[in-house]
Amino acid sequence: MTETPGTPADGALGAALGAAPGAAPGAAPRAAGVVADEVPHDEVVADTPRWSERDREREAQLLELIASLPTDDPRRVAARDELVTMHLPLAAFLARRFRDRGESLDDLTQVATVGLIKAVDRFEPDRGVQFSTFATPTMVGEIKRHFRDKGWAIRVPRRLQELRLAITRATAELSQATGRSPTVAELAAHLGVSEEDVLEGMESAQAYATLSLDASSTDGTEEGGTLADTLGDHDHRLAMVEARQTLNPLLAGLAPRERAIIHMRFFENMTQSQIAEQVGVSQMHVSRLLAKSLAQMRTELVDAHQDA
Amino acid sequence: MEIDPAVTLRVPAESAYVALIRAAVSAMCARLDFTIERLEDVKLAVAESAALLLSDAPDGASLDVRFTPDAPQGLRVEMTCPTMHGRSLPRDSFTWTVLTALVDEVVATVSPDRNLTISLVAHRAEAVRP
Repeated sequence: MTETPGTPADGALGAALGAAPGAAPGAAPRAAGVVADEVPHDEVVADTPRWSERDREREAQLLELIASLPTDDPRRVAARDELVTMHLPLAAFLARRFRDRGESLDDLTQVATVGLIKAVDRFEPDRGVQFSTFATPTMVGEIKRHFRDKGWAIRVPRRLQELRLAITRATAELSQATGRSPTVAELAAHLGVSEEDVLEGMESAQAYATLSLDASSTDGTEEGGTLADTLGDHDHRLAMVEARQTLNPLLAGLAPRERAIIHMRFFENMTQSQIAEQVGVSQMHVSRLLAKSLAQMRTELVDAHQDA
Repeated sequence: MEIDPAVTLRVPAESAYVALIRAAVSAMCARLDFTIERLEDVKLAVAESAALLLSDAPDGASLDVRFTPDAPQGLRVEMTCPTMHGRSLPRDSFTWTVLTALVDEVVATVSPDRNLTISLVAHRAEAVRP
């Protein structure tokens, strides 16, 4: 099963993505300003442009092709592309449902389209459900995950949000190029902004959504094993800490990923970048998680003392 | 860029002012051309030290933060605050473990008049995993 969009299709999909916003004019009036988290399937169908019988037949053909052909067959790739393109209006519609929440409609449409592609790859025609019925929750899930990962707890000026994202990107690029974390001056030069702007952008990360910090692994599946393994190893620094009885309950209060990060940073002496690589998040995110976890442990320690 | 002579910041010993100290630490590290990873580590260490100092500070106390260059290409941050109990920072505490993982040198001293000073030194070079 393929998880990511197949490379041969990228060109066509990219072009289709660009055309996605506004592809379903009929859906706009009802979607405007609505911020429902769950979108009933009936409503979606009612809101998307009417499908002709030919469209339905074509969809069935494509689904059959996709199910029957091997992954690398060019005909399958073309069918997959066409199916995705057919449903772009649905992705655009769902994206509009989540606008006015601080993320650009273009970004949301892209995210919904990623969900759509996943749905195409995971759909099993034998199950007897309509493709749109299956795809809708997948796309909504993708959008929600996007908010969870990228969302802001408090309203941060758009300029700062963009700056922060630019800093995160630039940090990854420069780290890749030089093999070490960049300096503030290097980031400022790379982004064409002042050093103060860079510092301000980094500080604004503190306002990042608590939700995104609480969320554990992005997919919640395969990471658990490795993190648990990590926790089992190299306890020597932990053993040196006499306040172990106090510490263990505090560590236990953290989410598994946060606990693993604390462990890697303080008991295994891994750098933030090394942890970032292992956990699969940015170094800036590791930094935020560390700050948040230490603060949480501190609070619980104070509470424990007061209870005693 | 040099930061000579030392820069001193005095704030009320209240948690609301830790953000101000963090901002100052960021600016100092940036001037010394620390990598942002190093900078974040120093900020974490300073915040952790400040939290410890504030936890035992009497009402109305001040927290002094003193930044001095530390050769070669390092930054020394000394934080001093009066304490109620005159306790130092035990080496077997979690805070000590955290601080020593984040910066290159940690020293905690208690003066006869119960002022606790936590002194941190961070060098510009990247921390390398042993």
